[in-house]
Amino acid sequence: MLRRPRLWNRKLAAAFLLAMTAVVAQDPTSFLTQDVLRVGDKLACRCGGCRNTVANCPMLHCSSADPMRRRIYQMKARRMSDDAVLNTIVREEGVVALASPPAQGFGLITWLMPPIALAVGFLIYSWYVRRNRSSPEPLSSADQAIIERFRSQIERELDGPSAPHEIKPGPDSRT
Amino acid sequence: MENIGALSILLAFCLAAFSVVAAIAGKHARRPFLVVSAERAVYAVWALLTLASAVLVSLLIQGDYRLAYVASHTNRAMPTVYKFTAWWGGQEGSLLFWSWLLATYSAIATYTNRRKFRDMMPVVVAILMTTELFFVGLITFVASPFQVLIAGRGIIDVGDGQGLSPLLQWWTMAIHPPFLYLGYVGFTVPFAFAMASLVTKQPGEGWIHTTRRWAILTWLFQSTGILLGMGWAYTVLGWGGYWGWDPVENASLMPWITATAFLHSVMMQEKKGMMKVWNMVLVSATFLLSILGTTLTRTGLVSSVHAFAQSPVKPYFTTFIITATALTAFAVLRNLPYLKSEVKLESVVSRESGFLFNNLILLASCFAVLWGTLFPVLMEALTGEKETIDAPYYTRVNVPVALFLLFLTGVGPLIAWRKSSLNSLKRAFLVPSIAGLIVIATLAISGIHHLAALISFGLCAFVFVSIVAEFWKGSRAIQAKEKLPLPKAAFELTWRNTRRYGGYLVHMGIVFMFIGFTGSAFNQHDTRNLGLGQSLRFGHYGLKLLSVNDGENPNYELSRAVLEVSRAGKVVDQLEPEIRFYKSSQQQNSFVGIRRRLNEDLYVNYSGVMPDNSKAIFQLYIFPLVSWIWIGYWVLLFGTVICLIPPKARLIYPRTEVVGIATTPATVES
Repeated sequence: MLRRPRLWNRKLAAAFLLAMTAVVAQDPTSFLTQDVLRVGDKLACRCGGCRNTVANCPMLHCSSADPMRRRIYQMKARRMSDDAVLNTIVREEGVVALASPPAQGFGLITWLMPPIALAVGFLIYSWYVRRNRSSPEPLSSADQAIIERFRSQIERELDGPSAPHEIKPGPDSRT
Repeated sequence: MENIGALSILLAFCLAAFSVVAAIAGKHARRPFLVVSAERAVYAVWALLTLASAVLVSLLIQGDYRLAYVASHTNRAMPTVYKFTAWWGGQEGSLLFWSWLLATYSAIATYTNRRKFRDMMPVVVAILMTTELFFVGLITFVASPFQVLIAGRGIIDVGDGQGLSPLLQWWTMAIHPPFLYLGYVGFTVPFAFAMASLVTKQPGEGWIHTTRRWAILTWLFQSTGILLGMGWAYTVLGWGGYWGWDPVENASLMPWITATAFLHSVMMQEKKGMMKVWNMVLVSATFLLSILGTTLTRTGLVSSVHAFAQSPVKPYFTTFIITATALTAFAVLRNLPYLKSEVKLESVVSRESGFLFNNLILLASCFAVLWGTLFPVLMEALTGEKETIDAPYYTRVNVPVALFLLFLTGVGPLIAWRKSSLNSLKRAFLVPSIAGLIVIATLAISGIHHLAALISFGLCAFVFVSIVAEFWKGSRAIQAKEKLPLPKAAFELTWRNTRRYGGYLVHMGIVFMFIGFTGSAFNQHDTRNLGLGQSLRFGHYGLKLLSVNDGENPNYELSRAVLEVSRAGKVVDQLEPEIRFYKSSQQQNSFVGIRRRLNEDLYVNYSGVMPDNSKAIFQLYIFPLVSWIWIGYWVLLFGTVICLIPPKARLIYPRTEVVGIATTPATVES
């Protein structure tokens, strides 16, 4: 047997024991079956103390998640499908019971807006690029030669540092 | 003593108002003495708020339970450090803290620029002090931290207080809010300089040069605040989650995202004179989202586990944020011609274009978070129906976006400014791409088939190799040219361009964090009962309950379980998770036991005992790779500090024009 926590103050002890007794009135771990966790993952814990789902709420005796786990357990024991369990709960408590909005009705807007925003952003990006894009003027042969000299110097310095003494003097590469 | 505090705040309010009026009048009437007077008022506001804060902290530590704030947030048994942190533990105190930080930032910004930007500074001061006026106004007239408890006609002393929430009595929580506030409040300064530059039509990019370090430092504070919050949630909440997508967490993330976008796109303006409107929008959005963040925390606008209780500040915050948004939009739209780009984009395959794209994705991510945070409020207002948006929504929407951002983190440094040829792209991408594919193939062969995780690990390898290659190539070139040993060459390389290579290190930190985030795809969880001396197996660990011990101190009582951890039959560790019951607040809290390793954390939460006291109940978790998140933070911190160090040679970027070639991309001043 485990010892109860040693308590010195009687009032505190009473409050602590009351809390502990209330929370362990029934073994809460017995409801944590795979079925319950799977369905519970789609439902929001609404205790106000966390933003978890019914499945991963850490408080074993949570005022919201624990009763919901028991309900799911009972419904699954009656061989109801996952969807049937979810539909029953949503019918009784509204879509607020779901951890994320359904992809229908108003809830659909929740899901559609981020991709729409991304698409609009992409259109703006394309418009900006088209509006602000301009090709450089054609380079003269002298320019081309200078570019080639720099390019080969960069390649020598970055890829083949074996012959550094061959590098011709040029603008400081620190830039 | 509380009268001194209240009077200081009232005087600070008056001086902030004076500073705004004097700065604007001095600017318009061209009276320098008024401008100087306005600037000195900024210092006076700081001194008065420092005095008020000192008074409040003193009252909190002394335990003057005549004050409502002291009685609500401390009690005699609390350790002194938490009595001090109660300064920002409640609504009124945290508003004072916010005001004091803003006054400190304002005083520093004013002092360091006292001889610069004489045309712009009056507007900077006016904007800073207008924001200060709002916050000081709240603690003067709406939510005073110096309110005394009154019964009938007399002041009462309740003898002892309710104490700070047990969740807040933890070391990371002691410093998490100040860092977050340093971030939130700090964004006011770049915003003030940006707006002042716009309003006074300053030539050049003076405001960017002035506020660049400021923005980076503020971003670092915000990052630190967020990471400390994650660390706290991981350790204290008992379920191992470090991010719950709570509205208040989201509120801290959104300005961080826009600030990240700003820090990238501001380089375009600095180097090329492009994206001026965009930068103005980003710096304004960061400031406004910071205000939105504190609005969400303080007004009860959204349901959150972090929020302060409902308070009368809601209409004031709403008015302020709407007014600030409208004025900012007006200022930007009115000055659009001034914000015209100086050069055009040469190619879609260029770093400029990459920055644009990176900004687009960051903003999309920010919008997704904002939408998820505010949609339930909109939905309830429009239809009357409540809706919950929790982690599943954010995960589904943000994971693809985050992976794409990770990809861009690797791609960005590989693309050249102005234009990249196909050949150079091939050369730059080849090795990192092969590394990414090898990682994906190896993991897939070893039995990992989680698609998002595979992509993420592959991209992490891609970015990691691309960053290492950048350091390697640059260091080898210096090594060959200057005959230095490789480590010294790498040091030299970094010192020559601290901003660039510090930035790469920050990217490396982000890669490590992504490794940690990706590990969450393989989390294991179970809830089990154990009697004294009994053992169980969880994953590849064996756990044996050795004892359950009780204890007490003046602040709380505790029950501590001692668990022996073994692996392959060999004892490897001992964990001691505990339950605490705080006497004053009558609240219970768990303190978990964690065995931290680079590959995984074993995480044990002692949740209580069975009804017949025969067994203890434990929630057991294995969190693979989670330590890489914290390692990533340290790398990010290191990289950011490097960015803040002045380079060995000061780089000056001449404006490049699209007229053929530039002779040098940058000149170096020794």
